[in-house]
Amino acid sequence: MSQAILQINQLTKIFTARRGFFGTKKIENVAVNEVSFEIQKGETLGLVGESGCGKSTLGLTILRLYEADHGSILFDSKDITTADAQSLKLIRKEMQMIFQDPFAALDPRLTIEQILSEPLEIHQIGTKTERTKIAAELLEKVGLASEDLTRFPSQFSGGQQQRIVIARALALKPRLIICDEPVSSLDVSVQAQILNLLRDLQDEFGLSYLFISHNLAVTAFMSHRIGVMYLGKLVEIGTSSQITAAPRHPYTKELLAAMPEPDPSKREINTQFKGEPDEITERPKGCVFYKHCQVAREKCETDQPKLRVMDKNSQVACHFAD
Amino acid sequence: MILLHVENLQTQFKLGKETIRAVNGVSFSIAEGEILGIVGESGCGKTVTSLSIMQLIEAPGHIMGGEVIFHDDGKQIDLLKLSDKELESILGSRIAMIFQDPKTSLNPVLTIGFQIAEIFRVHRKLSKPDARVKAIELLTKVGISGFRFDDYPHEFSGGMRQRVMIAMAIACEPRLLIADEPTTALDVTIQAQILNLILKFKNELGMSVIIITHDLGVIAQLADQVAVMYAGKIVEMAGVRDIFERPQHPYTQALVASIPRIGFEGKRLTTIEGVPPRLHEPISGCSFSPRCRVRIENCARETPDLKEIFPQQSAACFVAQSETFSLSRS
Repeated sequence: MSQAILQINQLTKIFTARRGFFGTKKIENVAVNEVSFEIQKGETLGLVGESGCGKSTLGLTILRLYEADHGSILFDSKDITTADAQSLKLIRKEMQMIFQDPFAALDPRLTIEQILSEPLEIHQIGTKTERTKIAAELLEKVGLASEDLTRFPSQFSGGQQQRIVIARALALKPRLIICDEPVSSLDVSVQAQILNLLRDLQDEFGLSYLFISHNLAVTAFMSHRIGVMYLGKLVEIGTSSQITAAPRHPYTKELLAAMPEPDPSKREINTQFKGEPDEITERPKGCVFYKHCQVAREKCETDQPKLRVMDKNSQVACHFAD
Repeated sequence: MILLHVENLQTQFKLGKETIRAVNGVSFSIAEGEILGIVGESGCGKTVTSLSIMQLIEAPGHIMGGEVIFHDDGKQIDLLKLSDKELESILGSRIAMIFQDPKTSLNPVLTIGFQIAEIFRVHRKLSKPDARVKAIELLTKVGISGFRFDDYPHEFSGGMRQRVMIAMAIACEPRLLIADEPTTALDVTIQAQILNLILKFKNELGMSVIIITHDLGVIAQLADQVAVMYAGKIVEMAGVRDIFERPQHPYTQALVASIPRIGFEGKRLTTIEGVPPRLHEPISGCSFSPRCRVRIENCARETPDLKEIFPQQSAACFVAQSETFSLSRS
């Protein structure tokens, strides 16, 4: 019996755009390119990468908000890749999502009570009074007061709104929450509150998180393991301490070096990275990072490196990593 | 040598019956060749401070008082007292600014080459062909090929557009560059490139830089001096090492402790309970006192001024200013 709550195998999502005169030219954008990993029960897997690397698309594909073009998604050992609407409804009870912008995620015309009881209504849980009681309990769990039930989203600050979004995600007692940049729009002191809250809730409910963020320090703080994505590919995956202390993939190294460390005694902003991250316009033949890599050799242009197991906790997709 | 001195700057926004005191008595100086970082959370007044220096405050905002003294070639000019005509000769050429979102700062219907060349034509009165040559030279300096002279802003990525903005800002070799969240919209590898570019030109031109950001990482990497703002006021002012190694104001302490750092994994982050005050009403006492862990009775009644705690390090906090506190911390 596997302890994995989520397993994805060779997951691929392709967007096609039509360009040219009358859209005769088809452009394939491989946003997620054969990504495989698993998340254990109670574990947080962090996913980092820069804009356009496919990390958000991956989250949405796992939730089946996008349909995968290839590969499979196993939730609690059940294949949900092609599950129909009926069974999806049941699965979504157990898989929730928290988005970056809490204000956009909350209906401004609904009271907090309505927002929090809506998922319960949809899944026909409890009577109206019971739902109100659950809503009040949820609010207190995330550090707000039950008096806030009658207020509207616009009456709360950004951090409080994000707490409401988290409360709503918890309403159906999910087992996996996909957090897509949950603190990116928040100030640093509020960010710390939300990160602590997410960790407390994980301990209390035994939740698993897929924690998507562009910020490596935040991700390392939250996650047991981290996956690094570049141009739709998972290029490295390992424990948080291995990724931050001994990164193996050249791109992970770049990412770490470029991070401005909040320590004035360590002043070195590294700019090995030349030019801009590429856009995905066609299936790359060789390594996705080839053009920017400091250690690239001929082989990298033509042979796509597969994820190799380096040791128990570390896999890297690079021909020359050791 | 002082380059710019801001004294008791007050900027307010009048919305109906309410007055928002966005900048409420801010004073600081920046020396020649120095990088001053202004850090604080959203709504603390850091951007309004920089816009006030540049006189870019528009109604319903008004600069209600204060002085902005710019030392230029031995003259001391109060920017707040200049006519529009006189300002025009200083802004853009002696003091330049770059913003967070380069997309909204560039004109979408003009080529970037035209927009850079325009600066040389207006401020340096160069002819069109001469301005073009200068513009191409400048593009190369910021790492963009001269072949892209005739491209439009939408043909550039965010990082490239910020390079264009930097080129425009340094075109006239200003004495002061104000950079308001210049890398917030950019990816971390591109951010590193842009920060290095700013450093490079700072050294080449010997200019001073005011960098405004919410990111303490950027401050730690770039700034010489740091001003920490909270609710429209500077609450602490010190050299960058002191800010990180022995912050004196409780807000600075909490801010520094709340950043997740590599290697911090198992620990809990320090948080600041509550939210910053609304600036609609005058605040009595210290504006941070409702959220402060070390507040004393006096804090709710009187407003602390910035006072030196250590040489070159001031904080606006009664507790930090009282000796017992410093002793108990050491």
